[in-house]
Amino acid sequence: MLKKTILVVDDSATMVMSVRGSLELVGFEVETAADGAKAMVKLAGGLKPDLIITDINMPNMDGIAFIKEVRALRSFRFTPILTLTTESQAEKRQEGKAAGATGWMVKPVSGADLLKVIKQLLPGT
Amino acid sequence: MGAREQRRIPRAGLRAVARSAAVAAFVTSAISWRWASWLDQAMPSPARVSAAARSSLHTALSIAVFAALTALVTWWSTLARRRHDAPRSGVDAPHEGGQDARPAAERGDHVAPTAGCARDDAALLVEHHRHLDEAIALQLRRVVSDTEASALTMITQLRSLSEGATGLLGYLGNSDRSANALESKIEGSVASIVEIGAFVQGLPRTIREDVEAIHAAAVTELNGLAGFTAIIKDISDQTKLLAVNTAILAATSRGDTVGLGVVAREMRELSDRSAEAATMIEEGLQHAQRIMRDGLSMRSMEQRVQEGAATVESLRKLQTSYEEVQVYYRLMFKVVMEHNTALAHEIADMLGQFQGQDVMRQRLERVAAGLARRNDALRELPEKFAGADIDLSALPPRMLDVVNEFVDIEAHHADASPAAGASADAPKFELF
Repeated sequence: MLKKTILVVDDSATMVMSVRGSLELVGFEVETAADGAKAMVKLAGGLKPDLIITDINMPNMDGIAFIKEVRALRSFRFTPILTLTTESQAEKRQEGKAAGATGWMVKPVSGADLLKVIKQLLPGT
Repeated sequence: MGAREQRRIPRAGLRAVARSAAVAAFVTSAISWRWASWLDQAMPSPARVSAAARSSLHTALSIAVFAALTALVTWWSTLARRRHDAPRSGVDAPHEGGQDARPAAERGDHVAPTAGCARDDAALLVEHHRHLDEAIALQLRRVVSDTEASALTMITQLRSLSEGATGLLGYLGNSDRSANALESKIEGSVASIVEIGAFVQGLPRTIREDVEAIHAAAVTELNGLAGFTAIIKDISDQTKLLAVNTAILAATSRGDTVGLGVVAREMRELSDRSAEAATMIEEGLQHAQRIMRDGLSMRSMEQRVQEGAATVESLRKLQTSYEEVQVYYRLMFKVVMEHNTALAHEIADMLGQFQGQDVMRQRLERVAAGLARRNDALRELPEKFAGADIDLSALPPRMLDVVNEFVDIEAHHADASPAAGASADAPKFELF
């Protein structure tokens, strides 16, 4: 069975290492990007992730703008997009939902909770 | 509010001036009767002035005293009124809905704007500055506390991982030694099993061949012996016939008939004994044939069967040993898999703790940004005191904006700090 690929977008190296380690430990392939713009370059280059996890507050292109850009691409209209951010206000959640996010997670989140949510978004893993 | 507007006397100030004038008039009139005697004593005799001049002087003094008293009382009452009316800061103001002793920054409340003279403005500026420092100190304390909690959690999890790994190594070491010992035994047993297996497989054929060979040989020998008995019988019959002829010769002969009779008699006995021996041999041969046909093969088969049963028993014991080995390894692998799974989950949770460092980093960045905005606001302060007109009226609102902006920004981010106590209202994760 082919491994599922997850794209992690965050400007924090610590966050990227943490999430990447948790996911690779249970068998996922993980690709990373430091901001929305770099992530769009990877997607345009042929990367086809099964799930995208993105921060909101990032330089160059923030998470909301990135989500809108991804949803504009035909190939990724139904790809699950999970935000992982410190933002918790209801207004921001609604903004993310309107942009096309599939779910909203507030940092810090344990590895077990992260995997639990991912299993709901990717049945069969 | 500008300096020009501040100097404009409001409507309430006119009433204060009127009150002050009334008080000054009362005081002036109360002490004016003393002035006449003071003037008389002050004026020298030759330059005694006229009553009219003295009266005018008296009036001028009264007016001067009245004006001075009025101004003094007005200033004092205005100052007292402003001190009384100056609103308390947002920290000390009572809040609706009960007591809350936390600083305004911690509650997330905005500080109400105030106005006042330069000194009051400076006091308010300091107060707002203090609020901002309190908010910053609170966040920094949480940074320290949460970082320490994360570190302790990581240490505890690492120790648990270490203990699990040590236990796993112990299991693996024991199983390795046992496996080596078993392997040696198994290798020796395999060769025996192969040999026994070949022997058992060839057993029926071997038995059959041996039995057939033995039977054939025995039958051949017996048949040969049976031919001998026929010859013996024939010899016996011939001997008997010869004895009869001898007896006849002895009866008809004129010579030594006694000797012939004895010979005839002996020959007859020999014939009988030969016949009897032949019969015995024949019976013996038949018996031997029966034994060869039945008894010999049975004994051989029983022996072979016993050997085969022993072999089967050995194989059964070997099979039991192999099954025990399989059960042992299955159990060992199950234990190893459980350990590995638990290890993986622990490591995944531990890695999740590092996310707290990113949260701390962002919090510190926001604190630094708040400090920078405060410093920008305070940078204008020295310039305000450099000029002749000290006007700090713009600074408190600006500093207030800095405080409110910081509080607003913090309110947008989840307060996931364990030091915060109660859990946040918003859920940690939500699927749309």
